Amino acid sequence: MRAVFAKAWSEVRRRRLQSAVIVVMVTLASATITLGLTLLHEASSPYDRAFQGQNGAHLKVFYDAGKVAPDQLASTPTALAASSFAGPWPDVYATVQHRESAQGQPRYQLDLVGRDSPEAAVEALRLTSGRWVQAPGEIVVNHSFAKQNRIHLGDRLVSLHTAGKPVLTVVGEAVDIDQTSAGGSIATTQRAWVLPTQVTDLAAGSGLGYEMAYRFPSAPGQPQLQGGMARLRDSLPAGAVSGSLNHLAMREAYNVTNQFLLTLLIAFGIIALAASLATIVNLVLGTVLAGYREIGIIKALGFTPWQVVATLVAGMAIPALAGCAVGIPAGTALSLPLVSQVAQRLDLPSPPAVSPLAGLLTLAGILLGVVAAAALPALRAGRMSPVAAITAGSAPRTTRAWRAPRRLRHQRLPRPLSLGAEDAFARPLRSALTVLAVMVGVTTIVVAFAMREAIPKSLSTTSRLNGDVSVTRGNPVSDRQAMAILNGQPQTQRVVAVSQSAVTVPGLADPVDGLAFRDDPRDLGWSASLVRGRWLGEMPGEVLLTRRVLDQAHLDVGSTFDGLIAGHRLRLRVVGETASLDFGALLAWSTLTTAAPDTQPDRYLVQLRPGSNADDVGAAVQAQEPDFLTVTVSHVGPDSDGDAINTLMSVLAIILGLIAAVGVFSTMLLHVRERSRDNAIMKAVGMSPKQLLIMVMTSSAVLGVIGGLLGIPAGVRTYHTLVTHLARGIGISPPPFAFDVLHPMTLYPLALTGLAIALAGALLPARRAARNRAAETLRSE
Amino acid sequence: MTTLVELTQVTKTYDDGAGGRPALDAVSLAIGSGEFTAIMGPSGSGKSTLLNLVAGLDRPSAGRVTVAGEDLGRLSEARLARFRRSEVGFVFQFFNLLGNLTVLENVLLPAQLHSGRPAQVGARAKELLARLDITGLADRYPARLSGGQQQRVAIARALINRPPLLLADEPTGAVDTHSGEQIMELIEGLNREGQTVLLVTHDAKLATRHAGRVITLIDGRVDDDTRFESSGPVPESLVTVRIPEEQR
Repeated sequence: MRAVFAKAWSEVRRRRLQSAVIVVMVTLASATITLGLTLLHEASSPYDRAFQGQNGAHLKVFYDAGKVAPDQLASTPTALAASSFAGPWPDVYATVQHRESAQGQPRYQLDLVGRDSPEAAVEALRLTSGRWVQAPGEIVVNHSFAKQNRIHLGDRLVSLHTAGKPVLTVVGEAVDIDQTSAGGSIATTQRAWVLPTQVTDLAAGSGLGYEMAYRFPSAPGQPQLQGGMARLRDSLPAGAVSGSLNHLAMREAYNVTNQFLLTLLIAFGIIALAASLATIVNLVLGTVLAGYREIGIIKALGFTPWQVVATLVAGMAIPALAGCAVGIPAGTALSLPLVSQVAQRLDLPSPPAVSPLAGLLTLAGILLGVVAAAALPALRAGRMSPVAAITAGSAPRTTRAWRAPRRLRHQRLPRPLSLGAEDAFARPLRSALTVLAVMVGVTTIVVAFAMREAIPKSLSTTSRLNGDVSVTRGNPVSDRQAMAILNGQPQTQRVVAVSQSAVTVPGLADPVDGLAFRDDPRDLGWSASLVRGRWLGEMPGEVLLTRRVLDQAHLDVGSTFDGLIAGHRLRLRVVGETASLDFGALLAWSTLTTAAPDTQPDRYLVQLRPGSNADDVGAAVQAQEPDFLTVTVSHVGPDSDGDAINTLMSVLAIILGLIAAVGVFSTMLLHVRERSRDNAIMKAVGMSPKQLLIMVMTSSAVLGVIGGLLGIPAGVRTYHTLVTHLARGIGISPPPFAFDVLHPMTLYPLALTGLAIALAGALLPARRAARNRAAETLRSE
Repeated sequence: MTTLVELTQVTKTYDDGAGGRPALDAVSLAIGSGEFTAIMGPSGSGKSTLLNLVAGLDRPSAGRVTVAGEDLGRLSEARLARFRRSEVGFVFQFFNLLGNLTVLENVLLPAQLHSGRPAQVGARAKELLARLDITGLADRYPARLSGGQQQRVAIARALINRPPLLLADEPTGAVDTHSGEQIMELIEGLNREGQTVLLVTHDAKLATRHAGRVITLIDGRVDDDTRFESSGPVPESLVTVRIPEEQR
């Protein structure tokens, strides 16, 4: 073994450039894979720890206080077969205004829950600052909501739609593990806590509900949850259950961004590894071909075939290990900010810096790949007899006569160009591996480009869904009054009135959040969310459902089912699939009013005329009803999650582009070294250094063009697959506009990146070839 | 007769770290146009080094090498390449044909690098193939040829651009005796037509039989310079060899 190691180490030192190439490639690949695996392991860890630590609820159910009394809820744990429960807690929705805000007096929609204590058998809350409520007029807010909106202890929140406009003073902040970020979605409501008696006062006889939280002996899956909810509904009066939320949905929503990042990292880590291994195969093949004589000598000295193989494999494994030694810690370090971000949302300390498992898996995977990539070509050398190896290595080497395509050979190109083009196909396997490396680089660049185009487009489309201005109506402003105010603004182009309503779909444990449109919202961008089928018509009973709802309920476009809306059973027909992120079902107004004829819209999406100032319009509307209309102006602001994905994609594209260029570099270096004799001969018969440079660059350029042309469709397919997978991960199918970002005018320039990668990788070897002295080469031959 | 090649106090030392003897040590000689000169000497005497310097494949460590009026030491690599295309043809011991090109493509290569007109170059190539009796091998690859055939191809390649000077480094070293004789007769025939030939060999019999002048190198220095009588008139204005003082 010592002899094997000594020989391998001497090879690593002798071929420093080759070893450096392997170190660089494996560093990049291992960093990417480690980053992905660490994120996989650690990203959900803070949530899981918080869930366990706070006895998180496997299921929360919301009850309509008008249909069921608190004592009737005592039997619900039995109906659900829950092992523990907490509640019922009274809750009511309230619109509050923040008096101390530095940005005017913004309003928020809060779900106020009445609890005497943060402690509970299920769904305990963790105070991060201040104390719990002790008297009426006090409120504890959600930690991330307070942080995002700069609400501090002692600030006052005024309930606008309650008689007397009671003031609630913030006395504490708490972490609730099913909190959502306070974004601009019309579906967003933040939770806050007051005394139970305060809830009753704020409800003033309407809108009161109850909330209960349940845990089960083990984490339930969808079937168990569906069965439990069915039994629950059967055990209570009709319409008593107004909604529910299970731990699976909560966890998924929490980890949405990290799922995106994870999918990208794992996918591209694997691609990076594949490209690195292709280069290693190339290098080993080249080493074997160049080292026949030496292999024959060591065999003559007594190396067994397996020792020869081990020497060659170790010669690759040593620099690969060095690459892992740099790449794995680098990947772990890069994962820290991402994992910390997840923990910070829960006000938890960052998880431990190192995920040993991720590092070990990366190391094992890469070493296995390197050994396999090196061993296969090394076996060829191991099997040769010493005499055959020495003879093969000593005789003047003639390149195998590869007959270039006839058309290529007879082109009237300058001779260096035609020689270079022919040379590109001289070694088919090596050329194929080089093309593969370039293709990988171009594929990544195409995907990164598409992502960069799609994310802002998605952001822009999503922001338009709420109109330029969205207005929430509170009693006593009537629908007619609200429409008059809005249509009375000269800048108003159109108003789309909407109302939210839960839709119970057979086969789903939780009701689906639905949105009903009284007017056609397609001009607001809602048509962009239509994936398949058609938009809602005038006929009642038509619905659009998301991918997740369709899959879980085993439905498809064209299916009909008996759904429940506002407690009423309706025959519903799926006319299309939507990619809405916030709502699982979209309904026509006629469908909602069939179930609940007295329904009035509570929100209005206002589209303004081009050139209008939305802030001015918002202020004008607010001024007409300062207390009972909540105005939100849409701004396409910075999206930190989108920026994170964009940044990551750009980094991945650079990494894989580098890997591709390094792969081309190592291949061309090998090629130049192998052809040093031929190059010297050509110099001897009069080829100038410039002509030799052009010849070598042309050889690489041909492979780069081929790799680029193959990389374009591969990149498009990879992007489609990735986007589909990412979208399915959050329960939707990708909307059509996600695929519109790639078209011929953008793809043609991207194809040139293959050429750029190949030329960048070939430049240094070409210059080396041009500078090599013919006499020295021929003399040493 | 004009001087085609002139070496003036040429020294060539290889930087192998050992600090040993120079490969060529202050050699001065001149070769006239139309001469057939053989360079002889034992292994390591500097024969191939001298040939490489004259071909512009290498640069002297000291001294001056002038070929066809060009001081090779002043030329850039690009100009040296152009020089090699047009002024010299080189025949190697081991042929050094390009294995991925056919016989015809190997022969045409220097001309194509020289941007010669295809029709003229093609005709010249065919003429050479016929002259060297290898017309039937035009579409074959070097790996399928015998040593003698490969060397004929190499000679054709060396002559495609009608260089004034033909350099041959042990042209018969890798072929059988019969082929070697044929090759030497070919080269001698070219010389009779006016081709200047500078040939390196270790075979004294071969050198004296075919060359008109034999220069012997030992340890990087000219040890002997002998002209032989030939059937043709001996040129009168040849510059004699200048042997360094300490060697006389």
